[in-house]
Order: sequence, then structure tokens, then C-alpha cells
Amino acid sequence: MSDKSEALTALEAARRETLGAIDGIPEDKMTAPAFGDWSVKDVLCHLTSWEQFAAPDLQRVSRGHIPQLATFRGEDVDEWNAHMMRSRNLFPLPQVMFELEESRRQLIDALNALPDNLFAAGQMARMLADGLVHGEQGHSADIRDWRQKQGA
Amino acid sequence: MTADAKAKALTDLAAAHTDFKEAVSGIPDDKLAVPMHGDWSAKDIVAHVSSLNELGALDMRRIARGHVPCFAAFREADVDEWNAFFMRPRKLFPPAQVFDEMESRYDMIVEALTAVPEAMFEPGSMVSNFLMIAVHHYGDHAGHIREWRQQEGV
Repeated sequence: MSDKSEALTALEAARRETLGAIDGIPEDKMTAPAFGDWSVKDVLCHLTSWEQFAAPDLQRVSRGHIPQLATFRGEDVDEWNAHMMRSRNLFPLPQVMFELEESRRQLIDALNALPDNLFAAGQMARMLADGLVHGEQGHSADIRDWRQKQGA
Repeated sequence: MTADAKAKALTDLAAAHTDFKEAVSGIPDDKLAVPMHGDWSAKDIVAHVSSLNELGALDMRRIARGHVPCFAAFREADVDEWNAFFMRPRKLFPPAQVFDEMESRYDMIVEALTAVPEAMFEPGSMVSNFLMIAVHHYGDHAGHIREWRQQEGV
């Protein structure tokens, strides 16, 4: 399996985990605060926001340009999340579900357009894909824990 | 009426984009990164205008689908914070990238607007309000750049 296929497969698996984790949650529970002041809907919106941010950046990389993520530092993550979520917190659940699927499609298109060598360990596309997978796995695990505690 | 409104909106945006391009055309490379509007350079202003078009294109697609745009959460009091967030990563972009995105982000928003139904361009609608702001935004920043060029002989 090529590095690129491996990255795409990991993204697909992480998304399957998320969809499994939210399957059957009643609508009123999807929007109830569950993780601090974030609901499950907010978590999905958060996953989407990063993919919507990443897709144009991957297109920048494919043109040989500098991505916005070049300035991202781990310690700024809360600030970035807060900004990206603030502009999305009015989105209703059907829109969030639509964008979850649409943004993933755009992300995969952007990743597919990149050459294989950018998916080698330590390369930009690989680091980005790994970061998205890691983040998504963490959130789907949180959702499963919350459901178990809540009986949701 | 609405077909006219859409055509006029796109024509106004095209004129504003062309005027802005003229305002920034021919600035020497060594002057492009010099602070001239607060701590923003002419290059930063171009990147800033493109950031609005990039964000606006995504939002116009949302509106065309009947969805809520990100702009719905925008309050004028937060403008500096929004600008700072979008400009921080773009400060690193070199001039060639910034000018490439000036065109590609304009094309992106025109493509998104083209897909918006004509009925959504009625005066007072979210789309027409956004376009009014976008046109003024281009004009304001073109004015800042022209004023600076005149003062500095650039």
C-alpha cells in the first residue's frame, strides 16, 4: 500500500468510527452540551471546520504555495478552534451533517491531487492527514464515552 | 428585476476588482511589504481582500443551498479579531502567491455567486448586503493604497 493510500484509508476508518459513534443519537441529544460547552453537533462541526480549512491549504501546496497551516502552533489550537467554531455555532444539525460529508469529499479530492511523495513520513500531507485522523479518533472515543455515561 | 439585480451585482464586483488591481499594479517588490496601513503592507491588504473573497465564496455556496453562512455570526465589533485571525497565516505568503490568490479568490467568489439563484440578489437580502460590503471593501482598500502611493511617490 502506498503512503497516500495508507493516509486515505486511515481517514476513511476514522470517519467510519465517528459515524458509528453518533449513529442513533436522538436529535435533542446531538445539540445538548456534552463536552464542556460543546455538543456532539459542535464536535462534528469542529471536525468539518478543520477539513474546510485544510482543503484549500492542500490546493496551495499542490501549486507550490505556502499553506495557512504553516503558521499553526500547537499552543494556539484553542484560539483557532474558538474562532472557527464561533462562526459556525449557528449552523443547524442538518447543515452540519451535510458539511461533514461535503468537506470530507473536498478534502479527499485535494489529497488525491497531491503527489505521492508528499505523503511520506514527515511530509506536509501526511502530517495533516495524521493530525485529522488523530483528532477524529479522539473525538469519536469521547462521544462513545459520553453515550455510555448518558445512556444516549 | 432579480436577473437585473444579479447581473448588476456581478458587474459592480467585477468593476471593484478591476479598480483594486489597478491600484496595486506596478508597486515595486521592495515596497510591497512595507507597512503602510497600520502594520499592514500593500501585500497584506491584497491578501486581506482575498481572504474575504475566500470566506465569502464558501458562504455564498452555503446560502445557495439554503444553509446558514459563517457571516451570520459576524458582528462589526469583532472585525479586528476576524481580520487578525485570517491575516496571521497570510502574512507569510510571498507576493507571487498573494497576487495569484487575488485572482483565484475573485474567480472563486464569482463562480459561487453565479450559482446563487437570482431571487437571492434582491436588495436587502444577505447576498446583496454581502456584495455591497465586498464592493465597498475593495474600494476602501484601493483608496488606502492610492493615497499611500501618492504620498510616498510609489
